[in-house]
Amino acid sequence: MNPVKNSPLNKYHPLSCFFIFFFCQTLLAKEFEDLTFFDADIPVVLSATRLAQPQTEAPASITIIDRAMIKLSGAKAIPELFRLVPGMHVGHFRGNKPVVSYQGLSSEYPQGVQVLIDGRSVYSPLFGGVDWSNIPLVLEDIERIEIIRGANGSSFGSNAFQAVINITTSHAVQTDGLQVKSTLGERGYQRTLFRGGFSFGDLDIRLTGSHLDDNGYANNDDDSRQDLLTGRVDYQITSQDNLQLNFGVVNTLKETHTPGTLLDPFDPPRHIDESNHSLHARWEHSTMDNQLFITQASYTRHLSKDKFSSFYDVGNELLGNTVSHLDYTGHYDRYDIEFEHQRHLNEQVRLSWGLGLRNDRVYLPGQLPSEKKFNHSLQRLFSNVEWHPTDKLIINAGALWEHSQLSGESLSPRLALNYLLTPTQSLRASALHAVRSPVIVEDKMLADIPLESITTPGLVLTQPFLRSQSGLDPETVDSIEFGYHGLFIDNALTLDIKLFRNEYDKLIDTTSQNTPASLTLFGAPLVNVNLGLELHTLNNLYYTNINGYEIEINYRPDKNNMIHIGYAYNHTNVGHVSNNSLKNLLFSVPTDVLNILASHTFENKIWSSVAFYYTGSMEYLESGNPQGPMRRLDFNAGKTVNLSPHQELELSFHLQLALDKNTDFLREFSLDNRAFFEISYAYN
Amino acid sequence: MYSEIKSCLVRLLLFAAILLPTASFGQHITIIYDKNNQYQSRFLKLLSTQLAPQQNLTLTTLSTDTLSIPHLKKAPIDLIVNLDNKTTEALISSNVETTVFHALTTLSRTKNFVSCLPNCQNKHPNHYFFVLDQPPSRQLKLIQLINPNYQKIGVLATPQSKDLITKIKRIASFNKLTINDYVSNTADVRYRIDDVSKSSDIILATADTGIYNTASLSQILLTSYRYKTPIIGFSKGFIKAGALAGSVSNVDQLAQHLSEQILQFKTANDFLLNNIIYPKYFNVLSNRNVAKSLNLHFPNDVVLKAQLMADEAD
Repeated sequence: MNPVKNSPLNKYHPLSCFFIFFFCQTLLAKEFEDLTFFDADIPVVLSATRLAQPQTEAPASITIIDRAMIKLSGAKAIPELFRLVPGMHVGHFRGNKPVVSYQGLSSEYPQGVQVLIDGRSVYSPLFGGVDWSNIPLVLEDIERIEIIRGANGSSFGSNAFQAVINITTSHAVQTDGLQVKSTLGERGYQRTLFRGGFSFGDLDIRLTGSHLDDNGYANNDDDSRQDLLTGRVDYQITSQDNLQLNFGVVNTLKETHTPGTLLDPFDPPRHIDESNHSLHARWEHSTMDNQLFITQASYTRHLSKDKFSSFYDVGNELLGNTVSHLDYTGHYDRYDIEFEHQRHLNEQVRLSWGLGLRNDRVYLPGQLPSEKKFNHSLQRLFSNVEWHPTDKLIINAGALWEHSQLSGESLSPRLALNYLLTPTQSLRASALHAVRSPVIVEDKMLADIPLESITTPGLVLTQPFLRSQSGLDPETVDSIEFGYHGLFIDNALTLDIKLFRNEYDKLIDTTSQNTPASLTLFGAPLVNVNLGLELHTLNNLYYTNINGYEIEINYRPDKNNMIHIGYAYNHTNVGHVSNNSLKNLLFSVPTDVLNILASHTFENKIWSSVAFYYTGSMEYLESGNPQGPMRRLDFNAGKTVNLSPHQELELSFHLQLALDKNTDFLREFSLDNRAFFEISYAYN
Repeated sequence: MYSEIKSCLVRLLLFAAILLPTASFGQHITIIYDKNNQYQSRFLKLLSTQLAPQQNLTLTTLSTDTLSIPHLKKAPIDLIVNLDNKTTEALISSNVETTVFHALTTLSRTKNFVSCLPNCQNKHPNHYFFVLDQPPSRQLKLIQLINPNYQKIGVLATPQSKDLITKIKRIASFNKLTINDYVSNTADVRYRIDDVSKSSDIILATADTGIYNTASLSQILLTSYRYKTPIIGFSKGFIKAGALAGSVSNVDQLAQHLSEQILQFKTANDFLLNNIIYPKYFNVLSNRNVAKSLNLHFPNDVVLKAQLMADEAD
């Protein structure tokens, strides 16, 4: 055997052909690489979708929270960030369920705020609103949050009713190497985070995993545990096509029961097991003439297991001991697909249009008429034209048409004018109409409390609890807004002022009526029994006008200093309801909301910040708990240590001081001080 | 003896092959290029078109796959124009005496094998480098026109090319600007860009593909944008990808400049003062989407170009 002939280096050897081919390709690639930047088409990195919208030209008031603010705020959970937004307030229902609302009118389900993560809506079709404890996202993966303060149905559809939170995660390429972070806090707070970023040519991958234990408020059964795994993949297919994939798996275990008592048989102490799985794909295609095509599809599966049996002695000889099999399980599958096209018709006109299809399959055996899954499909068509008739005037006209299987057709138009006094100062006027479509459970609510007698088999006492008036209309809002946005001192200082009037109508709430329970024997009705309990019926009940103003000031003279101030004033009128309900509704909108964040970074890489948050007295709907003003003072400080050119250690300390010790959402949960210590190690 | 005669005849034939198609009493110019490289081929075509009307000029093109440096050295050529980077090193190390214009190259790439750059008048007096890099004075002036308040300018350089930053620093100092220079390489740049972005008002991208290449560009642009630090790019593609603005010379302009220099060429000694010749003709390009997003407002591209040209004319 000739060793040379059989050597892999022999040019006739198949392996050597591969090596030669690969080597030549590498050489060619390198040669191309050298001149690529001077001639060839390079993929657009900072595309329109990755750039923050200039606020002087935006048709609405926008608050931008960037990574610097996220870090300096010291927030330990994503909902905490929204205290920095004028008009927004944050509570915690039963201590472990964050509630983020804008301009009040919110129960534990803030149904007026639409939330998108990289374009995917995370608005829940179960009860509306967003379940912040179950979204597959960590603070560390957020690049930027844009909050549109006000309705924006013409761009984001129904449920963009009071505000829109648009979260953009960091590109996978921006996560390099590995990061491990551990946070310890009072009251059993313990969080561990792992993040890793990997690049393979045009393919970038980020993986994030975290585990969180939190005992919540003192002396309350509101413990929670969360495990999370998320990832993002960015693939540059060609210079004009890029593909983004996001996936997430979240599992949460929460303690809960009726606050203040362990004896409520219909809401006893127990754990709720929740999981959320999501997969989202987004393809952006740009053309040589600056057109942009965006296609995205997502699947979300959410399951909240909450099923138990409760034993209860009604104190009646006939019924005796009873058992109630209660199933508060909630489950949904969501399929969503959307297409959008953006293009410049000419130098003055930019057009965007798109269409979307969504299907929700909801399972709520405890609140819907049967144990089957209910389908809700939604189709939408939207368009917006941005016209610059002159250098100083911008006109935005858009509308979104939506067809909901539940509530029929709706149209959400918007007209906005921006007048540029100078390139850095603008006046804004806008008028819009938006809707919030009822979710399935609002439209078909049927919740009863059954008590099955153990003493007398077959005997069942059923108390009607919740119903829905059939054919609920969508809630509506008509909004007028005047605004000013200005940049000063070489863009170091920004000032945003907004005057608004929001007229809400057909708002859904419950009326209560004393309704007897029914006693049946093997399904046959026997007698009605008045237990003094009420049946609550959902209906379009009232209107509300909220007038007010918001001010936001940002001062960043350099990269080491920042002052951020936000203030909102709301004046509320409510109509068409009884005096009691009137008072509750009025109180659900806080009159004043204030936030201040100030920070400084020293030359030795020590950073520090102080934050003050104030929310005026208010009462969340259906909480039965008026709460005094919330005042909180936060101190944050940290230092970055470069262990080596590729290793970084960050230490930080955070102190949250509750100045008033008032209640949070429910009277049993008292705000209290809390301290956190955090250590993060990153290897690049 | 037969083999010697044969060898002599081959050489004669080779000289004839070079001379015959170009028999004339004008200047003989040989252009070396890689026929498999579309960029070089396109440039050659433009250059040839611009030089074609000159009757006292004889052009010969030589593909790199048939290039023989020893024969080239002996051929009666007045000027060699080299478009191929891979051939640059061979030409320099061969000590060819003919004047050579190296085009379509960058300072950083050439520095790898011409270590005396930017000052090689003594060591390689007959080699001239028509670089793709824009003159530092032009780029710094552009920064000042975009925002006069930008004082701290970040620059990333590889260890091989950090000497080239000296000229930038000198000009910056004259204009009361501060250069924050960071040394990095392809592997490290993804991490260094963080430091540069935090410490600078704006980043000046040098035409160094050891730093700026398709592997690093996303990271550089996304990270600098995160810190609201714009980048001055050096090519149309770079600016379109996300750099804020830049002065850029297209292939036509580069060919026009080179052809003018060729036509003016007499001897190396009384012709060009520096080994490095920056592009004379340029356009200003800007990415207005990035500008708007960063709340930057500056004159349009045409006005900026006019201001730069006026400044250079002074």
